[in-house]
Amino acid sequence: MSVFSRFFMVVLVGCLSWGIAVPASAQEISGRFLLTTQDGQRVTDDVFQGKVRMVTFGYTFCPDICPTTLSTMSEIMDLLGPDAADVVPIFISIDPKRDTPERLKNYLGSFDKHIIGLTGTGPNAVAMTDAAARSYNAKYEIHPPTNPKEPDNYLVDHSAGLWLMDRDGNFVAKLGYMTRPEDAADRVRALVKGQP
Amino acid sequence: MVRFLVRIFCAAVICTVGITASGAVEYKKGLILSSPPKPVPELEIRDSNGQSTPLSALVGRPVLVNLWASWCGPCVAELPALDRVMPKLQELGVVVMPLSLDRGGKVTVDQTYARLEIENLPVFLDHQRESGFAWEAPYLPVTLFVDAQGQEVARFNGAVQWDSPALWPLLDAFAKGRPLPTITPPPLGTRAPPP
Repeated sequence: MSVFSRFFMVVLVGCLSWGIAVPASAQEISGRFLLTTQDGQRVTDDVFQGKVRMVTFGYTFCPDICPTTLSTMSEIMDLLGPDAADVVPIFISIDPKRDTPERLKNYLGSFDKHIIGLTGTGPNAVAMTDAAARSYNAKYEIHPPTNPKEPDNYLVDHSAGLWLMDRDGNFVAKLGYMTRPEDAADRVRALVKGQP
Repeated sequence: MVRFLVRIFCAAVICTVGITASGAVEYKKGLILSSPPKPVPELEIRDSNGQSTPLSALVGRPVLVNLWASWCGPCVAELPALDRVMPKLQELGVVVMPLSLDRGGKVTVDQTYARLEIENLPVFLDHQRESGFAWEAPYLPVTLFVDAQGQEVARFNGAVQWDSPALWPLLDAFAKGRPLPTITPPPLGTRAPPP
């Protein structure tokens, strides 16, 4: 790999992992998906109609560092108190090859019990998660394995942050990766009460 | 192809500038020296008995604070090496503080330690799970080098082979309050006892 290619990759990885992506308008984000939950149920976004949604993307195999997004999401749910009943926190994997429903279920056991884990399954697994990412304008890139002898050991760069959707599934806002849980909870609580 | 790469590269650079302009926390893996040393905001840290153990109570001794969680694979991968090097660090007067962010608290830490056959590491809990924001650590693992004056003199972002001989000059200098050398982190999997 040339010096330029290496530098390019480092910069791109930084940008993607920080989620400083292309600004998205509400028109570009439909928030539509057909995915499988950690319990093996096929669901669409319609299942969550009537609930405020807090969506993030990621994967469970972090080879050298792990983002703390799900921990933050759990804190937000704690802070919401009774209002949490009207909110669905959703984690969408963009690595369906490794993130099976079983794997997701095990992993999510460390976080708030209300978090819904979604992944792709079956022969169209990758197409399912790719479509979901595109519907949120979430960027991701699956890198080739660093060691050809370990084909399942690879990195995935992806947009970070939280996508907020109202009770009707309309995109409202994207909160940056390091938004404090208190600030995020205030924003989500306002949505629960019908305030944009 | 080259034009495509250049176009994406330019977009990436713009993104990088945006990160800086937005005031977001910079993040890079490896050793980062703090010059000058910076204060470490206080957190509600509890030990295995639920007793409050503020960092300020440890002023006078260097403290190695390792932020970790059981759901973080790289964190769990580096704990055994930290466990092995801990007695040597204790001899030099360093307090080793593995600080768990697990929501499951002590039970989860105990289970993880048992699974990893940890023998030396104590239990410390970030009770309110505030270290990520308070200490600007958006990723795990992160290890803070807090000197005897209670100031952060360096941090290590990412997992490291704590018992690698290559790391010892750094740990030794930290223990003795000397200027820290810049080193390349030894990759995980390089098992060897410290000198």
